[in-house]
Amino acid sequence: MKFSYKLLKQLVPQIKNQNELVDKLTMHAFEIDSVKGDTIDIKLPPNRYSDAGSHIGIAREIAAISNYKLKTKNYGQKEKNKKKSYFNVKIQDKNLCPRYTAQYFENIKISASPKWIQDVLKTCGLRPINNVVDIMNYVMLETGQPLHAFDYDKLYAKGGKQPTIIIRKANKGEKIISLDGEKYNLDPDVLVISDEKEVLAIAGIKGGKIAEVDKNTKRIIVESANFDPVNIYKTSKKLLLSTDASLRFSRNLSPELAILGLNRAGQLLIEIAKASSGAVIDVYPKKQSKKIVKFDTERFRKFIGLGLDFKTFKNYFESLGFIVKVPADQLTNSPINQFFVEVSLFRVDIETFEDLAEEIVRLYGYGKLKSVPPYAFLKPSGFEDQIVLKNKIRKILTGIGLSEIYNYSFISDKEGELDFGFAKNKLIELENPISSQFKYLRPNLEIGLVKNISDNSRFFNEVHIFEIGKIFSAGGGPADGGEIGKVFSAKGGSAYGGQAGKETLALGMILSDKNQETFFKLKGIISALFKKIGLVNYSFTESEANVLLIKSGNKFLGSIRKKYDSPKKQISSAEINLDELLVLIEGEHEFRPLPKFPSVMRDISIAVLESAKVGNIIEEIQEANMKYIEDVDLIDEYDLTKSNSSADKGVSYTFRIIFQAPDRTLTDQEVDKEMEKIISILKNKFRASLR
Amino acid sequence: MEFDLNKIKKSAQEAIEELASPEKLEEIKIKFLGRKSELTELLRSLKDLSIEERRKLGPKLQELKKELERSFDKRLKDLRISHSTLRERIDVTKPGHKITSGHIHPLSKIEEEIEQIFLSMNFSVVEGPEVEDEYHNFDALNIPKDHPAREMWDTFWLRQNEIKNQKSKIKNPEKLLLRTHTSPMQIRYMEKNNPPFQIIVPGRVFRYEATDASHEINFYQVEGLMVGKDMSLANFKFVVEEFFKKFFGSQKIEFRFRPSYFPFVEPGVEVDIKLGKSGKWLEVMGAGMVHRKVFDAVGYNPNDVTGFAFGLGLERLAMIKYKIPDIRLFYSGDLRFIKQF
Repeated sequence: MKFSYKLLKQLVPQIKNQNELVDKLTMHAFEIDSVKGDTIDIKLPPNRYSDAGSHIGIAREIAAISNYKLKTKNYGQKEKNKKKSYFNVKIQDKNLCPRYTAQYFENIKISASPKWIQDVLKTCGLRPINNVVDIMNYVMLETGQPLHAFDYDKLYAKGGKQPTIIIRKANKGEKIISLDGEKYNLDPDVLVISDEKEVLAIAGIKGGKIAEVDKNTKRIIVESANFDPVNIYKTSKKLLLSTDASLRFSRNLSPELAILGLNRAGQLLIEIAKASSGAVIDVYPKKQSKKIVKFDTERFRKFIGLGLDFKTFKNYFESLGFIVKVPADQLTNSPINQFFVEVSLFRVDIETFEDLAEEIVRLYGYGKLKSVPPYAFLKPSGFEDQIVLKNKIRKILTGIGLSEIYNYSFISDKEGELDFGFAKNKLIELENPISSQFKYLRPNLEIGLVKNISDNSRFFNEVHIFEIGKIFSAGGGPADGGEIGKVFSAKGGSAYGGQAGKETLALGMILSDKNQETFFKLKGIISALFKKIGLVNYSFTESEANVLLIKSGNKFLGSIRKKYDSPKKQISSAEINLDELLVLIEGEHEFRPLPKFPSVMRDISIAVLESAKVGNIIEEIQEANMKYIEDVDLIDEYDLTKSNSSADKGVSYTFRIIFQAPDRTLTDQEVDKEMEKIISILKNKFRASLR
Repeated sequence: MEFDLNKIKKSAQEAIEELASPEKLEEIKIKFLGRKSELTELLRSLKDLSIEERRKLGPKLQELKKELERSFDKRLKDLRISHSTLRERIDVTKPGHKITSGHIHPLSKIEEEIEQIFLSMNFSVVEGPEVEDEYHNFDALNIPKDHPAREMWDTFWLRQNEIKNQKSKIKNPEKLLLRTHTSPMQIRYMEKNNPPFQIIVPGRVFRYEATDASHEINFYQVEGLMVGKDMSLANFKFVVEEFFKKFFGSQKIEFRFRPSYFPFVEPGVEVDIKLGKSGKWLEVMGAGMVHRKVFDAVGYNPNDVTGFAFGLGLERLAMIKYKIPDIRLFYSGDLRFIKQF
């Protein structure tokens, strides 16, 4: 919010210069956005518009901080005799309009406003229009109370009687043309100001064209009212209409400001526009009650960690315009450690002891507060399992040569529509995407990683990267609502085609190499990773072409897929569900005794048809004797169709088989017998021929 | 005879000098000192000389023999040393092999550093969901619906289809969103745990705003929460000062605490730091004493417990620490950036 330094200086003449003002406000009250010439832009928190959204308010702050004198003005109008009111006010909805003050003025001479008013308006970013409108705006800047002026002669007077201002909800189908000439369709949620015929203004937001003050205006009604903040906020959002008035009213102003604003406006109208006034009308159905908060100095000492004496507290509170009341039973106490504080009615933000404590400590200065080590309840601290796993994976994968990437959590509409192996109706869409580039929540990490490959391939021949992050999809089960965590759906059953959404922690990996095989490298990396993190029970199963599924029992852990295969470049990627993985990790494994007897190694070369799967062959060999066969590995392969002999068909594989018995050295005869068994199995199952 | 001796000596020494390999030296040694060598012949012929001549010549011959043997041995030793080192010596000035090792993302690094510091102060590390409901992200944190305070957090909302054929239809179904801060974990943690405790919550958060060098639509925060009996603002000051001192290590650091506003704390403060002699205050943390309405929301008695909460931006700290000028680099996926860490 913009403020005029000149006006602040008038209100608190002791302010030395702009720097002093800016420093003191920064350290004791509000953050300063910028200072430009006479304009000081203050970042006012939404709960301080009532008391500090005005030059008087900021002046009060700086006076309290520095113990300076606030040059208050007497805003009271001298009521001469009994005046006529000239109009009636009727509040139909007291909840939405807790107070309505207004006053009639006549003999107005519309002209330009004086320079000092225009200067303040310009400094604060407002455009001068004429003396009446400018006074309304100036008073808002000075007191914080938005005002509005209606042209009295444009109001409907039923049967020539004096007009009635009605504060009511709009009727269905009612419309208003605003001062800017915009048309707004109203509905019964919108509070309006009307006469007995039509809508004059959208209450607390914007005036209408009908009763606009123009150059011929002679008689006016000035409105200085208070409206319900939530209703103003909602209406402003709904009509997409935000004004200085709506910004202030929606941040909850004190009804006490209304009369202050009206009186100040009256003063200036009489002084500047040479007007004469009617009686003040003040309809105040929901009078703001006194706010008294108990304060305990000992509690303050514990809460803030600062001990102050009663006199200091009293001085700080009084500097803010609060009244300190010491109960009778405390008066004899020395020191006084419990008392009551009657809070200024402008301070709508203060309700509790903590609110008062903040006032004290900020005026005292956070910088002067001593740092004190806490007494903490000592208990073993640590990381959640999931974080431990993530950190472990990071270390293992970077050790193997992969680098970590962070991608956006969003994918574009185009990426969402491409087939990445998931159905489009499983995508979670944003209601308000920032652009079509970021339309859906990412359903996997692969989409981002694939993009990283192409972005990086200009600079690197090999790109080996991974990402750990959350992925999102619909299908977490029925959307019966309530729970957020791994499965999300909101109370009241909002969902994605009747299903809840699912948030999953995933690990994505992708390898891109020039002239080098990547799929089996990645498969090897995953095996090594699983071994190191302690996942024992898992299997690889082929699904569609070039895709390997990783499972544990019937749980699906992830997949490895060959993405791209050309003589120049090979890309393979994998994605693993870490939520599932975490449950399966067995943790510390026990030591296995070192073998006491030597193992026996045999190689076997066979020719099989191309359709035979190496994975199956290894499995069969292993199962031939679970007791003695320690390991089976593929050590060589050769495509027989490439050989000179046209009789050769299929592929030749060489396997290395390690035999080991725990209790003795296996004899050659025993191993020969096992090899024969294996050969016959391979012949039967794979029509293998020995080579 | 004298002449012969000098000649032998000279030619032997010349031969020794010229030799390059130990094998050749053996041959020459045999030639000059072997059984058939001139010197041996001379020694052998001593017995034919008179006693007087023998006495005169004998010691000279013996001396020459010893001298030559010494020369040969020394030369042999030198040759062996230089020969073997020549063959085995490597050019240690050649460049080392390029070892491909991966790089951890700078945000992961910073996150772990932060976690370790807080762990050392007995804080535990927990995480929460990225998709949140309105209640945990806003309402429970004293940011009510239709209150302008919500505008402090520009929010991404999820598109939700309402289930139609449902009888128990709630009038205002709660909306789902991407959490705008890690603060909802304050609520989630307190709903399930009792004080005293101290935790930090690192995690990704989202803001609906235009990106530029210092703003991103997703970024990381670390939330801190310490709740117990008589926890004070002075305690908060101690904890964050300790944290930042450790985090920035040997650099000189100054602190500035000033008032701020967040609906879920009271009092609310902002922490600025100044590093080294840079002379610029950097905003690094929003914090405050947990608001009693937040304790109310999780069923704690606000008259029994107090606590402080704080939030810091991971990118911001990484940018300060590594002097990174643009937040968007973290999400660029550019390995030329990642590989520097």
